[in-house]
Amino acid sequence: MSTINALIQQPLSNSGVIIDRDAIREEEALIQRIKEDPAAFGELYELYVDRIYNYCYQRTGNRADAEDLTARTFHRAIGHIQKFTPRGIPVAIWLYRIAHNLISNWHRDRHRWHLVSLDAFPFPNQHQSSASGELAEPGDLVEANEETRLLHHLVRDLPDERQTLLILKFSEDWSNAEIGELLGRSEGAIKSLYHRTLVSLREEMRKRGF
Amino acid sequence: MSNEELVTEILSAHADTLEHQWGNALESPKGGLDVYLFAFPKQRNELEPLLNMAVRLRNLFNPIRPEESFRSDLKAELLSVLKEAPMRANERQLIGVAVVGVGSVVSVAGLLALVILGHRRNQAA
Repeated sequence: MSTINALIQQPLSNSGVIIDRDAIREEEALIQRIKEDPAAFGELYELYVDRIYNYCYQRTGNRADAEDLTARTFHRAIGHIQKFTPRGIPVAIWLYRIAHNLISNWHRDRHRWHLVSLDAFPFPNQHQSSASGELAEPGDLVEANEETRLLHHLVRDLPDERQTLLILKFSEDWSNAEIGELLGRSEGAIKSLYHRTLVSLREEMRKRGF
Repeated sequence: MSNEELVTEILSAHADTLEHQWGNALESPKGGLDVYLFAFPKQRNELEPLLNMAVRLRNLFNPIRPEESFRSDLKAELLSVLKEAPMRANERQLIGVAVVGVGSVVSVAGLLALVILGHRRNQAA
């Protein structure tokens, strides 16, 4: 628990990945079972398909590409599973790395075209207009939706690393250490990157009148 | 710790407390931003817009589930690929055995040829 949260006695959210060594050992046993009986891959699939799909969706903004990238992630995992050696890190990191690399190639190949479907624009809870949770007036909701669209657009334009950080943190509940493991950065570097990303988004919103 | 480092830690700590349920983002149950703003009054002006931004971002990323048909179709496809993979491995084994077998025959034939040639040279001599 961070010193700051301990100081003000705040509860923590659950990590989105593995949080203990026992769970990692169970996963390593599952990998071994898959090597001996490929049908056991179904278990791994069930554990991670929703998360990998969500990650692909959040990075691409549309279901068709999310499905394609999810499928390619698991096909690639099948192709490499016999050579995969767990090294005390969650299997999730390995799977997300595959997805992350595929998505990076996807962005590069499409020159960052953004196909964004309507369901990519989440509307805020109609009972809240701000973090304080006050009931919203109708006009507030329209403005809140414009603000949300703009924020969504700005996030889509972020560099891959910052976008990945926000998605894993807020959509998948990953810890800074886990995000750092995926991106090859220290936990401290991830915290700093998060700070700078918030500042930059805040500044962009302010320039546009929000 | 510098002010920037402190703000970095506070933002990180705040992000850790944001609870997230599938399809419905929630703020920390203990008063959200106010707890941090009260605990760190000197950083309030700098913190407040950034903490608000963090909450907006949390609300932005509603998790999206795959459609059930896609989920089940992909699983069937993957298991089908895996079922074929052992058969291909068996085929590779058979090819490997055949190559070794052919290699062995060639080696024996080569030895025989050497023996016969040697015998003929001896006879000629």
